[in-house]
Amino acid sequence: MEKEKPEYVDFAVTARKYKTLLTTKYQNRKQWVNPSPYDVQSIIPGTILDVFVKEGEIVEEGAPILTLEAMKMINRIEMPFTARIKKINVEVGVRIPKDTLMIELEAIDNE
Amino acid sequence: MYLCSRFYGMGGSLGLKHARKITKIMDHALKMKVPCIGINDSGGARIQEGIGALAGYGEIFYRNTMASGVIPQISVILGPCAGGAVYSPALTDFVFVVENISKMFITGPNVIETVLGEKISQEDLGGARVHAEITGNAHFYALSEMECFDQIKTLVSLIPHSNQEKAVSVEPKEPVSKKNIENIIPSDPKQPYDVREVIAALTDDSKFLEVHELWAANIVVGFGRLNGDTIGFVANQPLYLAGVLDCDASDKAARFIRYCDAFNIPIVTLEDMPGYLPGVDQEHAGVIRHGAKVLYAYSEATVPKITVILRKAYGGGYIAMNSRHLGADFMFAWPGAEIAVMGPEGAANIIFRKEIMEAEDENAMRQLKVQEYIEKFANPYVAASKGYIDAVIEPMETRDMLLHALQVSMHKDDFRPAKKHGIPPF
Repeated sequence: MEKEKPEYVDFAVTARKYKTLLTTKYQNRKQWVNPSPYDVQSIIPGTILDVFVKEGEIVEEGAPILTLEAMKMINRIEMPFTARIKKINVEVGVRIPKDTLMIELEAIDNE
Repeated sequence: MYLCSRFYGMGGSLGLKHARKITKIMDHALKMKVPCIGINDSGGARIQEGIGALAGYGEIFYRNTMASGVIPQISVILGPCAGGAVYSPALTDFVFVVENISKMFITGPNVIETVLGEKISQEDLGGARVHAEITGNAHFYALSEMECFDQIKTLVSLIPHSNQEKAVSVEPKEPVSKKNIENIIPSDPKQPYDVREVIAALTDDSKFLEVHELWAANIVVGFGRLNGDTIGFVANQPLYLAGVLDCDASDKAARFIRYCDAFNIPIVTLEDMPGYLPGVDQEHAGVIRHGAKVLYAYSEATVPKITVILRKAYGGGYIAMNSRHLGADFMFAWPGAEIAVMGPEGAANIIFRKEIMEAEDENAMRQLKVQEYIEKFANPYVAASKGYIDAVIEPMETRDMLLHALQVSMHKDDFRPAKKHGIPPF
């Protein structure tokens, strides 16, 4: 009985491309996306308890911007650097997964 | 020959007295130096018993650790195994799972949905296939309980009953594989092949019990016999991911090597790897730390270690796959082996960059330089001339050379500096 010939793909390891099969885990891996410092993402799934800022507001570094209830703790998310709040993507009471873009920041233009 | 088996509460849960029944058998097995097989089917800790149930679990895990490396410990998951219960199988040497029957997870789907909002079924979260293919928690995967029990019987026949003896030897047999060993590797170095065909051409009766078959498929580990004795095989698998080493493959190999070392099973390494898997996810997952586990495991092992370089052995991978420098007792290479710091294309681009840039036809010059590199560096004779390879052998001679090497190493007794234990990059 003729064995079915598998579909090999080109797989680059440094300078050479090899013909090989991919494993399921490899195919499902997350692609690397360069994180923007202006994205405030959730590092843990949880529920939004409070949002302290409004869109368009300029907030100082270190000021609290929202609280997130996760793993039986109230986590306080603080402003990473002084900037303007561009967009708020979450609401109080909403349950969010990990890596959600909660708040988008933008630089303050020098006038 | 007898084995002890312990049963977790069938569909029930574990309390202190129940745990005491299990630990009694584990103590007995440890004293009598016989393997311990645990058949798991449990709902978890008995909540009504409170801390007593946790104490029970703790006593079991402690004994799993004490017996680790002394007697073989096997776990068979024939039902749900959740919460605390699942740590005992994780501490044992081999875990057997059965499709649609085995379920292993720390927190079940109900809790995950309540706390995190992630919806997933029991099967997708911790079913047999998930653990056999993705997490690596399961070493053997079967489609039915009968198949599972056959696998267990085969495994137990191959491994010693304690660390104080060698595995039982049987009548030697010749390989029966129909494919000639010299026809397995394609002439084009970029084409893959199934290294299990090479193993089948070497082992007695061409029989090979593969461990972790579905997980980290880019490396193959398992038990076969050479001249009637059990041998542990570690082989790069070019059929998947070109045979690179990555986090999972390193874990898989390192654990298997340590198992063989703990139970006096010689290790034969078949090498054909182009390097480590590149990628941000690999680097951030700690491929450095995981890769170091293989180096540690090979260096630490005092069982007879024999390596055959089949095709490629580049850079760090050459060192990691049981090179002479990590204590290999015998190093062989096939004539087509390429042993170099990196592949010819990459190396030629760097070493001969000036010539290539100044040439009229860059591509032609590059091809010429790649060929020059292959002839000068990327062949087994350079390593052989330095004594790092003991012999360049024909594929047809491999089995005989292995048998000879193993016979010579039968009474190997190697020295290791006295210490409580090392600190492997866990």
